[in-house]
Amino acid sequence: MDVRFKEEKGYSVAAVQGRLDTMTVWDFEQKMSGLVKEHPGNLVLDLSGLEYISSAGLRSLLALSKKVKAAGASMALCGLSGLPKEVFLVSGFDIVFPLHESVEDAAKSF
Amino acid sequence: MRELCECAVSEALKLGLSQERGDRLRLAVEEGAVNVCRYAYRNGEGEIEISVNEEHGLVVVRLADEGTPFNPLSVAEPDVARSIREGKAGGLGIHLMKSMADGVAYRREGARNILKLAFTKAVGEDDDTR
Repeated sequence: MDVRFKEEKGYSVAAVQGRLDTMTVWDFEQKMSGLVKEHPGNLVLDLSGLEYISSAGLRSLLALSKKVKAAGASMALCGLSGLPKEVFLVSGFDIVFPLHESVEDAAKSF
Repeated sequence: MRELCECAVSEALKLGLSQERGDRLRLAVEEGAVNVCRYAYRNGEGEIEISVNEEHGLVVVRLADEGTPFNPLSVAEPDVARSIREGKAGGLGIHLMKSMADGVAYRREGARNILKLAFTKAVGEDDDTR
């Protein structure tokens, strides 16, 4: 699991690569905690590199969105495909986190 | 945990399960095993026994533990939108486990919880049969 981060105009993008499962969520939460603290503001999570997500991963996204919200900003997701996308749909998480196709689309939702 | 899931997938693929179904199996096993740790072995350590076999043309993963009696199928479906608004996501893992498998069954056998997750071998089977 890896996170690549960059600042854009008016928002940040965190591109998550690999797996968000029971084994990797702690590392993800540590990384994102630091990034959100240093870069408060709207956040786009680019999940096009996400290979696998389990309920542990879904819960960590929920926790992350609460942190972002607590700082007065919003979080949007984009790029999901394959089984991770199905996991979102099956779990109903797409109702709370609308799924965008691209970073640009996600940024428009802010 | 990762090894447990990968072992199960590897055995299942040998039995003729498709790669696509194998990905679902991996997720179902992770969720099943996490629930055993969370509920059956809440008060300490324990073993999980996992076996993968073919039964009636299906690939069946059997998870057995000697923890507290716990039937994951008795957990209510989560009201996800409400859970999220309230800031929790309980029941999610079990819901995903049930959604990823083509069939699930639980029974208590003596001092053990036995959970079976079944997967069809057919490639490209439609999801709307579930």
